[in-house]
Amino acid sequence: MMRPWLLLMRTQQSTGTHLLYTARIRVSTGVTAQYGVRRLATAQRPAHAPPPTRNLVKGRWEPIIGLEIHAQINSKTKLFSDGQTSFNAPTNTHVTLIDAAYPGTLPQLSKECVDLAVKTSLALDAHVYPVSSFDRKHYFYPDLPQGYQITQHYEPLAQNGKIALSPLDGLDYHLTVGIEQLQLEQDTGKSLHDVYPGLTLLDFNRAGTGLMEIVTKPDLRSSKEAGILVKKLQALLRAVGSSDGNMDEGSMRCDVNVSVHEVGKAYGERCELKNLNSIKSVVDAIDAEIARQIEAYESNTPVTQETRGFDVSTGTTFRIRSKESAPDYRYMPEPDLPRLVLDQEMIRALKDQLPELPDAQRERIMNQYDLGMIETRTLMGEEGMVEYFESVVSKGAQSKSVISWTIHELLGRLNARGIKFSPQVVKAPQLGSLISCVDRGVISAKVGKNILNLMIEGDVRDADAIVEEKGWRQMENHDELDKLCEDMMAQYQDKVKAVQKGNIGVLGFFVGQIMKQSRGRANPVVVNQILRTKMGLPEASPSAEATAGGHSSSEKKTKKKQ
Amino acid sequence: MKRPSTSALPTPKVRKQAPVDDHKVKFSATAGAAKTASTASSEPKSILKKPLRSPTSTASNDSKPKMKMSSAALLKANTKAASKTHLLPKGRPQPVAIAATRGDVTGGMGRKRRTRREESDEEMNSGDDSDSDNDGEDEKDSGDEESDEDDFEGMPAARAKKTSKKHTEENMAEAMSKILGSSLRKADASTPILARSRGAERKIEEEKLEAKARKAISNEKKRLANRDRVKPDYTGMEYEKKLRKVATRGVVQLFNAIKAQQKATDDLTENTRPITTNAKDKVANLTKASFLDLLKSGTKVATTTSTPATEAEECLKNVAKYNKYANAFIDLVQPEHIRSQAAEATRRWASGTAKSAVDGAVMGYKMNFCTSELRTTCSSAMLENFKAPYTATAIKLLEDAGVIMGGKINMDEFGMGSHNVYSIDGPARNPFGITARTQEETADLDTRSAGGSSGGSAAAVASNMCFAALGSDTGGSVRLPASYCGVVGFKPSYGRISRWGLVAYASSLDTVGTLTKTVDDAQAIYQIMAKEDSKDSTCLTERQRKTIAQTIKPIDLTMFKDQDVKEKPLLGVRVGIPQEFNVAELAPATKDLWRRGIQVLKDAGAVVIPVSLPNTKLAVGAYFTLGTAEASSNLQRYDGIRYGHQSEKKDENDALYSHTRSEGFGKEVKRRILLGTYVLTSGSFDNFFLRAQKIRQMIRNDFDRVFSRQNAITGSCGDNLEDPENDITRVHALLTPVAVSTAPKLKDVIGDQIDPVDAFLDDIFTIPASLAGIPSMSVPFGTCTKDGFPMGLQVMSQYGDEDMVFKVARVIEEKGKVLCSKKQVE
Repeated sequence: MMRPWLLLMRTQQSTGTHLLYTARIRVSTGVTAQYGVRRLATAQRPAHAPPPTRNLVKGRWEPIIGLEIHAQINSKTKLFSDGQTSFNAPTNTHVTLIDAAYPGTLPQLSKECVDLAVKTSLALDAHVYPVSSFDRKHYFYPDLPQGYQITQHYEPLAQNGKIALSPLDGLDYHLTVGIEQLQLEQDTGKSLHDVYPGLTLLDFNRAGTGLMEIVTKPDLRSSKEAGILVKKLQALLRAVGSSDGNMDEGSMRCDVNVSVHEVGKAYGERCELKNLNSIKSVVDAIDAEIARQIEAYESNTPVTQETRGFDVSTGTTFRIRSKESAPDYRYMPEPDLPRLVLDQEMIRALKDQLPELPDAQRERIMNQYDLGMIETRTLMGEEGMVEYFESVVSKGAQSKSVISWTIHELLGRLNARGIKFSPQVVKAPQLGSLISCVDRGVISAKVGKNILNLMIEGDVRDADAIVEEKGWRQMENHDELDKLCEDMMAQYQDKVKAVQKGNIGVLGFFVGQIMKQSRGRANPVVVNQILRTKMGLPEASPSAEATAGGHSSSEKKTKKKQ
Repeated sequence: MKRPSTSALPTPKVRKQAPVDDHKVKFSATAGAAKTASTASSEPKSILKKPLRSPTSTASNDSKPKMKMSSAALLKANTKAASKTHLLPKGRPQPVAIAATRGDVTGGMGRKRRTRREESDEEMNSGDDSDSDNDGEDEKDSGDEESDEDDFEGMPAARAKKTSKKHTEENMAEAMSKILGSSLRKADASTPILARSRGAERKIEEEKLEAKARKAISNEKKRLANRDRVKPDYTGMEYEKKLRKVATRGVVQLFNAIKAQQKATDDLTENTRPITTNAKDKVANLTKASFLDLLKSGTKVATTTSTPATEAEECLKNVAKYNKYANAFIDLVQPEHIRSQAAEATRRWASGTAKSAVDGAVMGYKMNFCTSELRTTCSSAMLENFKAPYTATAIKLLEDAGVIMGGKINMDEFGMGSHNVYSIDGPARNPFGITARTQEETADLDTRSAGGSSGGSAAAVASNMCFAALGSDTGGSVRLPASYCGVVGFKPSYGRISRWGLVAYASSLDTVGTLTKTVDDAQAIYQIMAKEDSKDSTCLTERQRKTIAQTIKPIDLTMFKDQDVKEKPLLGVRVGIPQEFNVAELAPATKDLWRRGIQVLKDAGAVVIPVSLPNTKLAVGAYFTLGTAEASSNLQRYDGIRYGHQSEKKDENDALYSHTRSEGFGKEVKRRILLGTYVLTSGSFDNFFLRAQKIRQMIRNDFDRVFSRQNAITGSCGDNLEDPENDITRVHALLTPVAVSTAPKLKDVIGDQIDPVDAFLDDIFTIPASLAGIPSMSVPFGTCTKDGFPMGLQVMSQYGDEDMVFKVARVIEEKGKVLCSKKQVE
């Protein structure tokens, strides 16, 4: 391991940023007539079942969209060295000689990275090639230590995959998006411009981290489809465990190719949108670019092939460079690495290791626990939450109450506090004990929420222990409750009359007051019954009010979020 | 996941043809690949078929303006551009610079090339050429080995190969010596590569017709015989022939143009060099006893007068004496440090606990091996103050075996050069004869080149400044200097020794090599270093090494008498003489030496057979295409940011790279980077890089087809032969010269008047083995009668068969301590 250091370097800002974008450009379709490139005969129209024309803009413009996604491989070490991968570590503390491209060093392929990439390919239903090879892609930039990026230009790891989108994903129809290929490549270091004016600082912690480049076929026709695809891919990567897929942390990055043409006419020139770092900006950038291209066509301005960026503040795209000024990467087979040979046994073994994939999981949990679409989506939207949910349910709790406590109470509270969901915050057995207490009627739902708050704040005991210590056990003792009710009725006699006149709603006031008096320990169901008896009202069907009523507000909140 | 594949895998159909360059992966072509190959062969063949004439025979250049710029022209353009412009401002070649020079260069080249009319005249005269134009198709259809013959028309060698199947080995050997003799006589300065006899053409023509008839009959017979076992043979002849057709554009032109250049400068060297050294000195180095010999006896060393300590002292003394002249060692380890280590080793020997046969030996390392102690400059301004934070695997293994580092040694910058003149520390000088002189006299020596790029290493060993030295061999960088300085230079098979810590020049060709005084030393050091290393993915694994060892069967000696076996060490060994190495430029003395080498091997019981490596002529072009391409890529990392030189210049346009790199790299390095960058640009990648890779594959196939042992990595023996080991037309080793002549004078290879393409020709004999990755050794074998400088012979064998190289080389070495005969051939 090398000594950490911070590098200073002179570079001019203007050209600097320009070059920064050169890091990951690949012309994805058609035009490249590179010899021997392992690329299927690509027309813009996918070969497999062409989806019908859809999502026309202004009734006649059809957008054609393809994505290039770079997902950082979630491995312990980097792709070609034993340097540790890191996020937000102090600058230049995770850099080996290989990462810094010292003379005489040679790359050593990490098995872990290959395994994860193969698993991802299999999860994408792609064909994993038994032999693939590495190539060098050359360009000069200070955060690229070798002066080239090792990638898989000629013989990628896998090709011909697909992702299915459906109404369950939020689309109004079924759509299968083809995956052109998946390849392994190295990430670059980071350039920090103008931390000190006029200087660019370099952090090589990220240099050499493994990336999977996933290229879709140009099967998408709207920003919505693209957004849903990215989200689905994210979920898939997380399920496989091959990438965190966090766009805001940069562990997943997205480039988009967009072209627009009039239905029935030739395809338009495509523009590439780079450096989009959230799903929202992917969606917004596509919309802006479609609008720009249509406007250009309508005003008879030619659209030229170019690379563009997206300005979030103005919501418009801007030119980074034209096709003419695109760099020549001088691809060359990597002579320091033999071809990567995967035998079928190994691929099969990896396939067996694959966890349950999101689509299958979704179908299963919806059926098994009788969950709604929104609940399922919320559950699956957080990493590890399904396992968490299932582990609580497996201890015997009712799935209905568990889902409510998990996605509404726990997740709602975590979101309000800005904490990311993790099974570690409130451990599954803790929540299980809490739900069990509520369900058994040991405590009220209200007290349960208080206990949950304590747990989130760091109390690691089970609910039973907390209840005992705080003395929050629900008052089941009818005499005690009777007395409370009578006191209350004596105090608010006018309100008793109102109830007896038929204004049942006022009954809630009494329940509320009694709950307040008992500091939540009273069982509202029992209180309700006692009050009704005492006021001479007929027996009402109880339960619903107590549970559902308590949750209505947070449920609304969750719904709004979705 | 597996380590590099040892066996070929079927290529999935979806994939189009991909560049092939993994020496460990058998090239299996898909139908698609073959198709591409055949469609691309529309280029006129005359360029390949007929060697260019000397410039005097050209008259007009009417057809030139239309001619596509040849690659050599580009090469020139690039080299010119290199001297004019800053290097690579943004990682791309400078189209402007190239375009600007394009016109002139093409014109210039045109004058040196033959016109189309002349070519057609030529065809009419030779008569047979019209035939040979059709041969392509014939070859494809017949798939018959013998159809090869036409490619070497007029070459007695090919004929000899053919007849050899019918004759006894004795006869073949005779035929061989005849061939060597006759081609020597016929060799004509205007015939560039192949000794092609114009005078004998008529006779040959008749013979050819006859041969064609014979061939037709035998083809038909074979066809009938083979009718039932029609197997596509993509790795063998069939495919390779198709490839050869495609591969002939670009690189061949490059090569031919290089040749034309070479002719133009008219540099046949031999006659320009007077005898300068004292005959007494000539063999001084060759007979110097090896340190290893002294140490071999194990614990007995204590009783002899020589110990590691005395040897180290001797080395230090020689460094003080000769290093100033030879300029070999650049950085030296403190003498005290060496002495104390040597003393420790001496104690170990005395107590019988020596770590290895070379425990306590002082070695020097070429400047491109990383060592954590001294600088690792690669003799470049770019890394002038670079100290590597780690030690190369090869050196680590040597250190574990008790070897003492004497210092770091001069080289050509990043290994690029053939005379060790492109060095920031100045040229290394050939120390031959120096040991017999006093220090004062050395200034009078007419300075000769030590060869390159490991010139310093060879010089250090030759002047006994160290027991042995490490060099690196990319295209002959160990073998050429060894031949010039009179030491043993050994390049093992690619992948035998880990490259971790060897600063890369061309990764797919770079090999760790040794420079030693004897073959035994080379073997001892090699065996220490040849180990698996997980840090180098291209290094053979233990398992692969075992497989190789099992593949190589010992020679069957049961049919020989015990007495003979004892007296003749090479009994049962067949040695091939590649005809294509008999080039016109070969100095007569070198030819004589070669012939004597053949005699020596025969005397030792070997059967000597002429063989053909038909694609040898394409090797130089392919080497400079692949080598420069990889170099341009490998040298991208020198940007002065993390280590190395960083320019002080500041200007407006983000010129960090261009200033740093144009200041840091020397002339030759810039030239090669520029050429390599051009080779890799998307417009020329297919034409140059891929073609060169195909040629490389063809050259590998050539070797596989002459060796009786199959290639242990690819499993290929060129053809579908059942039992190549017992095929008497196949050989175990090859014997060739290392260089066309003895060491040239430094003043002839230094300075601006030197044409860089001339320099490319220094490696013509060593490049084929580098491209094929096979083991190869330069063994000193006498000295030249004209100037008294040493010359070596090159022994090559099949991939992984280092032992055969040692075996044959030992015989050469033993007999080599004799002067060349006074008899001149011409």
